[in-house]
Amino acid sequence: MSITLHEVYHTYQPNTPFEYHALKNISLEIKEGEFVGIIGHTGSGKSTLVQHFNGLLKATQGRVLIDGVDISGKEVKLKEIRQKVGLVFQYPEHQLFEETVAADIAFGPKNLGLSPDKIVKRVKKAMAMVKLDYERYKDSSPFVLSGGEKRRVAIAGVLAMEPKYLVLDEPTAGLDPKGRDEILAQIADLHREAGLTVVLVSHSMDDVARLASRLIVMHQGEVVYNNHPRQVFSENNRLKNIGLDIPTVTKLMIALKEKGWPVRTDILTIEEAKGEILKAVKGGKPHA
Amino acid sequence: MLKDITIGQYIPGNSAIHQLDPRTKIITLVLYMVGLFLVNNVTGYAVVTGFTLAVILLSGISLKIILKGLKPLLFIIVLTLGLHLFMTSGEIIWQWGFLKITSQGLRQGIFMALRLIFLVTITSLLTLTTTPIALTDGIEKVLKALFIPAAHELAMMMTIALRFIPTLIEETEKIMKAQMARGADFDTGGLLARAKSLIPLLVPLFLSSFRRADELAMAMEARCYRGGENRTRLKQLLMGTRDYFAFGITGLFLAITIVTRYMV
Ligand SMILES: Nc1ncnc2c1ncn2[C@@H]1O[C@H](COP(=O)(O)OP(=O)(O)O)[C@@H](O)[C@H]1O
Ligand SMILES: [Mg+2]
Repeated sequence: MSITLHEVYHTYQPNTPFEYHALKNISLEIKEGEFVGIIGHTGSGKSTLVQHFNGLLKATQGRVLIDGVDISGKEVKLKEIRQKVGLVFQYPEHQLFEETVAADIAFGPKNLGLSPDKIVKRVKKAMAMVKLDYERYKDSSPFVLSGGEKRRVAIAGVLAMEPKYLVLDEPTAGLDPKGRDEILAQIADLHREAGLTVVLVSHSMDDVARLASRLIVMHQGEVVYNNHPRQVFSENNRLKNIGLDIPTVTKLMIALKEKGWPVRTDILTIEEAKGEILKAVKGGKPHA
Repeated sequence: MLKDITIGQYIPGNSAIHQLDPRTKIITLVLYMVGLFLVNNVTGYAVVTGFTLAVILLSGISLKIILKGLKPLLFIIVLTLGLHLFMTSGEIIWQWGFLKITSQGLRQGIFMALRLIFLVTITSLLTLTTTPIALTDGIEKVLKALFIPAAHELAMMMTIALRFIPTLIEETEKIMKAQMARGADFDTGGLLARAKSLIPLLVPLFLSSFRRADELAMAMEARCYRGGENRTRLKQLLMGTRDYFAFGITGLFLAITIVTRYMV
């Protein structure tokens, strides 16, 4: 069971002066249970790519398979695909429209044609998943909440569809550091505890590096890396060339190594860095 | 789908039409419209068709883009054609049950449809070949010449509206997609169901428009914008030979349309 793209191309506004080849020859697979990070500079085609995962955009050429089913087929019900692959857009709070938080989250399940008591159950569950207290928030207007709360409501709106794959397009954009950490921690929980397959789109290495078990790096509409974060970050110079930075901790370790400290440089988290540095310090000062 | 709307878009270019002074374009557009509404026979429409095609050719804008811009209006054009076709009384040339087409109806229907098509074509050609800034300057000058108060503000409002059409379309598509990702369905069901399905689209769209308006106002004020009073320009509008030539040709066109109406 997986999301599979086979030689996918996407062209915006074909046959006009504005023709733009946003995706070129993309082949990739996202297996059930994975946590995949998609990273790339603004305009590299990340959003275009993920909109192919649930059939919002159609490949100009190539095939998209969800759990083995080609979604361009005539008999395919796109609503079912969209239920299976939940997509949270960038700035999802801009799509809120209902008078109450609960009603807004219920929009997805309602569209799936569920019964009222099932809908309520799903709303409660979805709100618990993003750590919003049901009783406290259900009747408040989504428009009076803080930025981070609004975003959690919007994410709950997608979770209430009970997707198997959860795709989030830059879920931390525009949040303050605290809001960002909270959202990222919740996404990590959704993967670990709720067992969702997660695809996290971001342009920040710091966000993705710690969480993802695999990184897909996009550049000008093409996949340039598709590998474990440690492998990807070892290509420091090439990443710089395409305008991407490596995580701050990794940078620190490289700087220490250059100063002569005997440390590993394929470090992704602060915990790992701490261990390495302590080990190196115990070993004594380096001879530069 | 929504991307087909070309009104308000600008396509960079270097054609003779692109290089005309915006005032020239606006005034000749008005003259053209007068001509378009004067013609009432085959000769007249032939002249208008020829003139319009020549202008399109001269602008270097591909016919494909023009046709694409007409697509959203297809319904209105067909409706106009149909209404005239079946509702005009006269000499019957085709009949089926209560439906009948008269020769007058056929003629009138085709004329009206052509009029609509040309009207939209030439108007979108104005925005397709004129940058928004040039367009504001042009509108402002023309309004001032007509002694209309608050000419600058009016022109600014029009240009901002024009400028934001593509942005709003983009926004609409984005919100539509976001709601579709939650299982929304915008194009099936009866009239009532469809009207209802627009709520999840319209509410966020209004909110974002207000947000945008707020941000734009703030950004303009931050750069000390305070209306047209004492405002000077970096680029002065200057008419040249090309513009006088354009006036001459459009004047000639108008004269010919008058001739076809009253003398042919
Ligand atoms: N609807 C559209 N029409 C035309 N071009 C588009 C459209 N959406 C995106 N693009 C272009 O496609 C490229 C990739 O965009 P996107 O997928 O949004 O990149 P990212 O999410 O990585 O920033 C950009 O250059 C963008 O300008
Ligand atoms: Mg994007």
